[in-house]
Amino acid sequence: MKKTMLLSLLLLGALSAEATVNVAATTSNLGMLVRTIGGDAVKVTVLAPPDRDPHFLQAKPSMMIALRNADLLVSVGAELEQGWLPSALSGASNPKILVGQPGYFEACAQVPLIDKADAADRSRGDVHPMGNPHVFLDPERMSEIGRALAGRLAQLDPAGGARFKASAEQFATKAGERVAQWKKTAAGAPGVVLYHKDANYLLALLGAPILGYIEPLPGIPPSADHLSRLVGQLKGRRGAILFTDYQSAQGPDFLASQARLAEGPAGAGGPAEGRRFGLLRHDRRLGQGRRLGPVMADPLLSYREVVAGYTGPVVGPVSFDLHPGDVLALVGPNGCGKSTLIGALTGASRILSGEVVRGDGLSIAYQRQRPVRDTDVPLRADELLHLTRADAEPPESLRPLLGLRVDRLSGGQFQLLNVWACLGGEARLVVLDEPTNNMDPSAVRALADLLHASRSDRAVLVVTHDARFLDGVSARILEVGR
Amino acid sequence: MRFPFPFAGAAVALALALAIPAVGQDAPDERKALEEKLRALEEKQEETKKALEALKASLEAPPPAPRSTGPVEAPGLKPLDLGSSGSTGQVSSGTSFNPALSVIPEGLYYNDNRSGGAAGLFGAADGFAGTPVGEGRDLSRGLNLGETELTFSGAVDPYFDVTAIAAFATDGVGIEEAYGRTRSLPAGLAVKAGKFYSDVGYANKQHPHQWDFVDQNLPYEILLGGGLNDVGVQVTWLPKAPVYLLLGVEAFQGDNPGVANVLGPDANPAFADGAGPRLFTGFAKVSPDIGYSDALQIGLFGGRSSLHQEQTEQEGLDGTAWFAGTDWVFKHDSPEPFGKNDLVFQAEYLYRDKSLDRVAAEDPALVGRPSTARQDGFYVQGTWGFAPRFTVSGRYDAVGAFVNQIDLGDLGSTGYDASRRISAALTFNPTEFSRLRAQFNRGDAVIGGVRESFSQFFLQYQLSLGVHGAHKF
Repeated sequence: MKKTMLLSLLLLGALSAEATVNVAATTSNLGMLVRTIGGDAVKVTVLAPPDRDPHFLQAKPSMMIALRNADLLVSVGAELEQGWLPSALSGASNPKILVGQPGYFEACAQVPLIDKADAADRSRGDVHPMGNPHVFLDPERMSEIGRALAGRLAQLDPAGGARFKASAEQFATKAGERVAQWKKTAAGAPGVVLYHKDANYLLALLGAPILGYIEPLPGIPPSADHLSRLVGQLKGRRGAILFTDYQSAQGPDFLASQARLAEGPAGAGGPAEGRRFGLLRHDRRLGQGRRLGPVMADPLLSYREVVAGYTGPVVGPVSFDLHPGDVLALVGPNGCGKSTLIGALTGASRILSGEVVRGDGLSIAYQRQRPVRDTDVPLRADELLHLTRADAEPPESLRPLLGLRVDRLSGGQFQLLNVWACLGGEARLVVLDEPTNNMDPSAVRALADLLHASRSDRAVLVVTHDARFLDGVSARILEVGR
Repeated sequence: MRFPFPFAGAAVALALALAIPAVGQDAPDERKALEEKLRALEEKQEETKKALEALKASLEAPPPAPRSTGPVEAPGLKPLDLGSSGSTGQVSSGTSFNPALSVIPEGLYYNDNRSGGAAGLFGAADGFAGTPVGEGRDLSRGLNLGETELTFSGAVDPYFDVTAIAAFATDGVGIEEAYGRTRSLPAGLAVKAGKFYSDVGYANKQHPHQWDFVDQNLPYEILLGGGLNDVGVQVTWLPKAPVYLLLGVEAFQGDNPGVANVLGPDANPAFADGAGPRLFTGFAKVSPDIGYSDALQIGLFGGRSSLHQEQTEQEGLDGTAWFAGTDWVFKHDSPEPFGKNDLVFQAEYLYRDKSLDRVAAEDPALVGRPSTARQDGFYVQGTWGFAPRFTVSGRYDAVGAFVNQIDLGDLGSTGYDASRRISAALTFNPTEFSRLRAQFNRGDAVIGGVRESFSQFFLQYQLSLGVHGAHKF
């Protein structure tokens, strides 16, 4: 009898144990895909942050332990991670995730690739002879990869099979809707100069022509000679230059400035306008996995080509989307118009063109730049939080302050309390205007921790003149007034 | 291929027009039969016409969509037929059944202010003179071809990987490493067997082309015979844990100038002849996760050799040796392009203890007396990517740094001064596959109590041809 009970207890234990699939994803975009499709049934570790070039990484011990603990490795493949993943895999001593095992999933092995090279010759740069591995910027291929991934996850966790499949289809539907929208937006686009061959799939999908590459050859940094030739080729044309965080801004800046010069002196003949090359830096600082949630969810807030000001324009046009889980920092020197931009949301300034679109039923908590400290009604800190309906459990750094009267707090402590008054509530969008004002370094660290631990169903918009405190926070940075 | 239909119709009509008058005047039933024939022909013509139209239409229309890709319609994108759970394969340009191959030639220009003898000064330094040390780089002043490394690697079967690295020098070929390693042992275990660089310390397992400097650091060069590379077996264990902890033990045959110099009775009849394995080592490496951008690895290691022999003109020494040390590595990986602002700091400390007996000597009175050497060494070095593709490195290393004691039992014991060196290197990596380096060394070795200082200058190129070598941590 005892034995049976023990056995059934053991069985119960086995059944109730979480059937989580540990997934190691090499890049954050694949991490997003795994999380979107796997939901609660997966635990994802992203090996490389989005601001790193996945070509050039080092096999670090932290990667090896992530691979050691993984049931499934999801990589981009087609030799994109050739420089580090084999070494990390060998160091991980995990036979479950070797090539050919159910634990090995390579995105590029699931879809057809473009740009197959006819020769594997490195004098043509760091070529990938089997095709362009940068499939992750192609929503259609990502949808296909998602479907294959759902099948694979179902193999590892059969109980979740139907759910994975539904999520993959949902992802594909959402992506498809986006693609239709993007195609419309990109219709008739004059063309794009890429830094590296990393957006080719997307541009092929959108039908936007590629006008050239900043790199003379894949993996070779731009030379002055190559850039000047490029300027010559692009003379008189319009377009955008697309590059990412880990690609040097020097080449794109040079090209943009030269293309501007190509506008030519007045009276030189030919159209004087429309020859500019805009710089687009696609910001991939999405940060650690947690925030990579369903980026396909509808944005909480969209700025579309907003020009804001008072009597005349001060700042803009600015566009961005804020999704749940995002932390977006508007950064720029004092007087660059950051607060004016926020004013467009709160009504303190005027929207002169463009539009600000709020998500349905969006609740906003706004922390002003100089919070009013009312000394006539000396509230205690916890009372202030109660009044502002910041009912969430306050973090460690705030607890010593709770019993104190707000007029006894230092400027930095009061500021931190105000930040929590916004973050501790239920608002889905929190706007913080210069939150580091009056703060000493320890309060700034506490603030960064608060932002880091921000809920994944809300977005935070931070206005600041100094983004350094966001270093440890997975935030997107939008430089204003550049 | 498209058939001009009106032309075909005209041809049929013409044929009919020619045929009918020839038989027109015959009996009415014949005429009836003819009329029927004509009707049949007209019907047939109509059919042909329809068929041709259909063919034409099918040629002009786009081909039917092969399979719906769901809500995302991509005309050019046909998903690969992979079954329900996707491919477990790899998209690779490597030839699956042949080993991955790479060739790394190296060339050097060298000069020093000691008529080419600067590199040998540390081997003659107090405390180390007459003892076996690493062979060093053995460069002549002027142009040199370094060793050309030829690497083969690949999976043998589902159970083993093999790596074989041969070093081609102008005077012959040596096996640098040749080992098999298990692929599929459970529980994070791996076994390696063959000739290989030991995993003790941090710099030990690096090949010369992975060094941040042209030459090996002093503690490895002088105390470990240039690095521990021997025939042996290694077992490592990486437990499933939140933090990286690697534990390993190794058994080597025992053939290393620094700690397991085995000469045998052939060199001196008084020397013992011990069977292998004679050198056992152990190591532990731990690496806390300190974020994406930074990595820290701390290691402890040690080893003991059951046989170490040294032979000079005057005497023969026979005994045992052990060593222990610690290695620290910190790396910062900056998001900036081409290694800009990447940082590497590494430091190792190595202690070696040789307990030897004088088994033969010119002066028979000395036979049987002990000779114990307790010596240490360390290096600290840093590398900074000050510009894209450019790094600058600095190193300070010393042997006999804190302890340099030779103990001759009741004949007394002598402590010697440290010999040391400072190095600076500038490296340019045009791509991941090529490297150009300039290095300057300034050092002083204590010889007979006198500091003998020297300067060395190196220019080096390394070119890596073949498969993409993986960057080990």
